[in-house]
Amino acid sequence: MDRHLIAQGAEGKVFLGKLFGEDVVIKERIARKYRHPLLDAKIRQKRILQETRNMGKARKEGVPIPAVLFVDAANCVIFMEKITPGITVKEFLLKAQDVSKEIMIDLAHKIGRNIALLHNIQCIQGDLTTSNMMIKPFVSLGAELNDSNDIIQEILKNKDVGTVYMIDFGLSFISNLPEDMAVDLYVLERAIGSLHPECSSLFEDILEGYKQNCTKANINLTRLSQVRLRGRKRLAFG
Amino acid sequence: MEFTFELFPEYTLYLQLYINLTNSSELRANVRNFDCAFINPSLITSIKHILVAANRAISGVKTNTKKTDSIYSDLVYYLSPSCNIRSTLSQFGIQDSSTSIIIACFDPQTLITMDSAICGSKDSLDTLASFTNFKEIQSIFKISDSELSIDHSFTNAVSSRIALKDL
Repeated sequence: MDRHLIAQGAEGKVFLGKLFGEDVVIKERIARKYRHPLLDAKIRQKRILQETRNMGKARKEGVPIPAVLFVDAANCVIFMEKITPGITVKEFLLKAQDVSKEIMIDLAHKIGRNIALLHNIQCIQGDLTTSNMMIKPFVSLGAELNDSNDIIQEILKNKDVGTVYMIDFGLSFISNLPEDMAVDLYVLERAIGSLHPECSSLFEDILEGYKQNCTKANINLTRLSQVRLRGRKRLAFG
Repeated sequence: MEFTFELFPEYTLYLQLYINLTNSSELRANVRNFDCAFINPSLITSIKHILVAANRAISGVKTNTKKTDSIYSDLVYYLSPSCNIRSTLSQFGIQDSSTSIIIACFDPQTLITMDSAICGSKDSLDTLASFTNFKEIQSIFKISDSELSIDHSFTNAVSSRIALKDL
């Protein structure tokens, strides 16, 4: 089967390929040669199941997440829907010029809502960055979107970002601790601060959207201010 | 209509829709003697729904993790979100009162055998959507309105559940 590599990380490779005649994203966890083969297979399998389960669980709550089409647990491969047309939030923020306040607030509120819905079901995404979110714009009739510039123009024209998808649940886990949720938000704040320093109010707008949708927003945000003071890692006592 | 699988190129799935079925109780009684799957079209969102289930059924045969005794009952089993084999087979398979049915098999020869066994008329699979009972699908698969609002696709919601079923 022909597939071509679009991204590689420390633990996995992401390909574009075909399944049922449609374009799909294929995510594969690669074997780590330094681990014992038996242990390696167990770890990879456990992680891939955790990832897909969390994706399914979150999708049921209405968080936009690509549909999983097939999980090959034996080979640790996930086949999922390709978001098309789509662009990562990171690329949008870096490339788009003259983005109106209105669009930025819409984008931030949708991101905040997504995170809040995840936290409502005690799902911690674990790696919230702008490259792990994708925008799927509403496409007007007859519009052809061939590259990311076309997509950006379409978004600016619509005055609405469309649907903001959350991708990559590779580090996600289930926890009901305010600490984990606050760290989740803190990671995003740091990511935005270093990647998009000019979008100063983006994170505040995200928190605004988060507050409106998260049932435990107050506790988590109080915790966030504590996390800010000390950083992501907790001081180890005892 | 025939469909191929990118992951399992040695398999080809053949589908045929029959309407105005008159001998469904007879077919149901002999379900085990036929080398094919009987699928209730009213609970199928799209052809992709069947393909996702067929893909899982083939992968079960390949990895020796079949849930039921044949690839065809596995196919029907993977159409549903429930893990109860018995109720799934009666709900998503053929019923005594069925008036329309989809035949799925991996052997083109079976289609010819089935054609003589079935009292009904063939129809194109393009009309599949007119049989679908989306209200019932929504309640069986427990699809919330907020999930549907993501992309308004029943097929995506359904395939997500099938792909994650008893993993």
